[in-house]
Amino acid sequence: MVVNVAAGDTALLQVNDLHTDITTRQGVVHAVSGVSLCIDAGETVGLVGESGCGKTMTAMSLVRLLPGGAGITSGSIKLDGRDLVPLADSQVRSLRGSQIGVVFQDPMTSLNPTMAIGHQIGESFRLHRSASRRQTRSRALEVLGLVGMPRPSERLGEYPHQLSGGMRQRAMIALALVCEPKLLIADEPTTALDATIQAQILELLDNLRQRLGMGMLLVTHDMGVIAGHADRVLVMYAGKIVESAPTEGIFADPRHRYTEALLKSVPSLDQDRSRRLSTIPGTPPDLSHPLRGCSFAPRCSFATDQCNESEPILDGETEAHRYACYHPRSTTAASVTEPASHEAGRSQRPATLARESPPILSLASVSRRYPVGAGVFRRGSESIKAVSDVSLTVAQGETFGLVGESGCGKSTLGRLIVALERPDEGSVLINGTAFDALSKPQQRQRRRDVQLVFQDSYSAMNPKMRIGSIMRDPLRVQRVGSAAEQRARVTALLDSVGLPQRVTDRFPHELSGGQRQRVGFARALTLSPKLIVADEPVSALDVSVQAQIINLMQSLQSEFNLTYVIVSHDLSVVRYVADRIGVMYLGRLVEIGPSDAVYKHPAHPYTAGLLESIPIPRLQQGNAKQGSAIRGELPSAIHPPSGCPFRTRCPRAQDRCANEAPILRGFGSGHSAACHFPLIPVGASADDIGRTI
Amino acid sequence: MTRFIIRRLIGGVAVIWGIVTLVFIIGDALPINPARIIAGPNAPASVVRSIYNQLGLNRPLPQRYLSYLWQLLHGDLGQSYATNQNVSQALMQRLPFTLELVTLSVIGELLIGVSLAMIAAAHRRSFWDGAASVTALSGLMLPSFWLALVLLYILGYRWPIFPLGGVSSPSWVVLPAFTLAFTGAAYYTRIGRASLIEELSKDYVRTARSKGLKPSHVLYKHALRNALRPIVTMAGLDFATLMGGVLVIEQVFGIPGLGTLAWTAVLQNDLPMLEGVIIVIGVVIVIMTILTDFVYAWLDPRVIVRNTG
Repeated sequence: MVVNVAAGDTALLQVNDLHTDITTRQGVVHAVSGVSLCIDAGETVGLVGESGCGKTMTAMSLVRLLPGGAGITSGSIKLDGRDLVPLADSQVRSLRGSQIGVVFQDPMTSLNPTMAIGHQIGESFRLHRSASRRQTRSRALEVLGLVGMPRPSERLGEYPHQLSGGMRQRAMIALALVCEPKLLIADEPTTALDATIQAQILELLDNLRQRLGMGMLLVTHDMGVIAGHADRVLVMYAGKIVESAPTEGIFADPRHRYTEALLKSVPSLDQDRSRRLSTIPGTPPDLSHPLRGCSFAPRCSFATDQCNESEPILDGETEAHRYACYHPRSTTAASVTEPASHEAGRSQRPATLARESPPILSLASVSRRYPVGAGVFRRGSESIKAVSDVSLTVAQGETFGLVGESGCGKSTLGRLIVALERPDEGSVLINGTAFDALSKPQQRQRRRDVQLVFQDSYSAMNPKMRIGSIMRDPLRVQRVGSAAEQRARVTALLDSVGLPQRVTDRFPHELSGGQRQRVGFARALTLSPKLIVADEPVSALDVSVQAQIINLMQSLQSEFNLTYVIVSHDLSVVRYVADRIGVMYLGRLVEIGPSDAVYKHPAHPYTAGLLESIPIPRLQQGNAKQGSAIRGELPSAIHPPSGCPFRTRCPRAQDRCANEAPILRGFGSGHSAACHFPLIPVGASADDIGRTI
Repeated sequence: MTRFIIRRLIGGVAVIWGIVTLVFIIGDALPINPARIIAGPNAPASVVRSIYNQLGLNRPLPQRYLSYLWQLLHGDLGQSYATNQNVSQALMQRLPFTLELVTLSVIGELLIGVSLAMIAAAHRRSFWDGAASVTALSGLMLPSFWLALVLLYILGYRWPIFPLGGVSSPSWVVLPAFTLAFTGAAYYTRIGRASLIEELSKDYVRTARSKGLKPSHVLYKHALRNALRPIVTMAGLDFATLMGGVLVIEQVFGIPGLGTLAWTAVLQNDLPMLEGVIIVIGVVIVIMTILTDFVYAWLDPRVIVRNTG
């Protein structure tokens, strides 16, 4: 599919009808089928899509960093007018690093762990500019300063594991930019980072692009990142571009049905909580057997015969905004991202919570420390204070969300609740009793009552066991029922999570991420628990699958009368799903309260900063780019700051914050925060604030 | 870094002390009467008893243990029961040969094994991969003494480039070391290949390629260094094994090494000699282990940070 671009010859990068195939044992997979795009110097083009859509393969095809068995079969890639496709490997190699730089997703694994940062950054400079060692070193120093690395001269000799996540990504960016390439490819550059660091890095990339006059290809699955940081957006599905428009156009007026569905299934911060999330039924197509018509047709509720017969062409009323759809969304239809979605049904959420009965879960001053500096000669009492003095209660049937960034202790708290670990101080009470106070048979019963669902179901399941065995395991361990009864129970559970019985014969790697997560839930339900702790239940999933799992969680909750504790860093998801929320920072609970109250009127500056850092998947008046409110890096968990742990990054910190640790103070209706200078007046309830604003 | 070194050295000393003590205990518990061995089977009991007292074997255990340690610290390993020569002297005569042989053998194993591993990993699933693996495996299949004899015949007799056994000229070590290296390289090839393939699939290698580095540069400067860790472990263990186990090769090539010494000591019930050999080999192994740890730290700087808290 050829594109006629009027100013084509001046574009920095022009890709025309690119096809990339991967030859596997099962056949040829058409990862990229006819992608055309162009990027000008100084602009950011966003490539958006879910996993398997081909966006990473497209990006990697540009620099020919393809996996074994993959190759470009046709099309052209013109960098400054020069076609890269017919070039020999060695010629393409000379472009990498010097003309085109790449920033990858996970800086921990993408940097050589045994080579100093300075050396890694300088390598491509040394190669492409034939520089001396001294020149390389000074250039590395220069570029480290450019990316905002604190104390760059110290960093040169350090190793990746000695840096924090944000600093590592800055090092990666420095590595990619050291030869001042014309084009920067950023493949999910912030997905592996915390929200506050994410915002900083995205801002950095924007600044650098402007300063160096680069073109940038931003590949991501996160619509929010696109909204704030791309000039134009290309939406990919099944190896093809389905919609292409300026950023405002995509959000204000999506035309392709897939774009529309994608935007709808992302829970925004003011999503109506009484409505179910809209999802995209089905799964992405198998790229080794391409369909005749539109690839999205099988999952589209607006598809007709025409859609299945022939493939729609990327076209539109204007040159700027094009889409490949026979039945696009009408321009005059209601806005997709505004919070009035009527198609979705009523969410199955228990209307009233039994507040009168005693709480099912109660944590009182729980602390957990991990000793550090071990060895034969155990010296000192240095320890990582993973959880410090956390108290909270969860009522029966409630969903409690625990949010925070990496290292805040939320996962540790999850493990303490499930009695995988014991608290060093304080108590964890389920229905009034602590685990250690129980007798052995009672403890076994307790293990049935409280279950854990993991983030990565794939690593939580034995890859050598079939699904049926994996699910029967809890029943076998607890010695419940005969073999036939166990199998019947497994089938019933799979049914309640929407999986067919034939899944029992499959291995974990044969299922999709969403299917595995469903199995994770089914397994947790096997022993009829009362409380389920879900540790990042949807973080590893695509957006459309996330919505399915969230809806599933809610229907399971009302069907089985469950209580959830959801641990997550994804505030949009938690806000939608949770009734009450606790925000953690460096092991302490800094804010807790009803979901709406905390999100609409956060009292603690950290919560406010966190909310501001989230890339919002829609445009706001005059503020398309999200600024990062919180500067700096997370302090050490071994030596947390005195007084309030957040004071080193807090814009409102004063002397009192260093001397005195704040305690939780109430703001009405169960909303409290631990801050000396909260954002809303103490004692005021959310209603009061609502009235005055 | 210094803390790391000091900890390793202290640990090494502790292990050596443990070896020494264990040797003493076992030696003491053996049901042999050293005095009887020295005196011979026909000597009268009174002679045996007087020798017994002369040797100080009638003293209480703690006293004997302490004097044993004291002597060790002075490098005195006692007298051989069989030949009545100074054990330390005998060992020191033979130790250099064994050390030289074992060191060069391990180096040879590494050179052959890792080179083949690199060829195999870089050309995975192609002809060269198979060829490299087969070559390594063929070495494994050959009995070492057979290879030794063949090499001796061809390169020692037919075309006498190397000495026909013995240690008369400096090139004595070539044939035996090569024999050991070739027959032992396969382990390194297997592990090296698997380790390299794993490293080459990692993200940081993709980053290195994205910088435009040449494939050879990526292989040598990035992947190899990280892939060497299991190989280093093996080399350390291998060295230990070879120190005590090259008896056969020593016999075939006529090398006056520790293996033969230990063997004859066992046959002659020569306890001090045997104890001496064990202690010396133990000390060498401990030193090698510490050196291996240092190599680890050099390869992977994270080791130091982890181990000094």
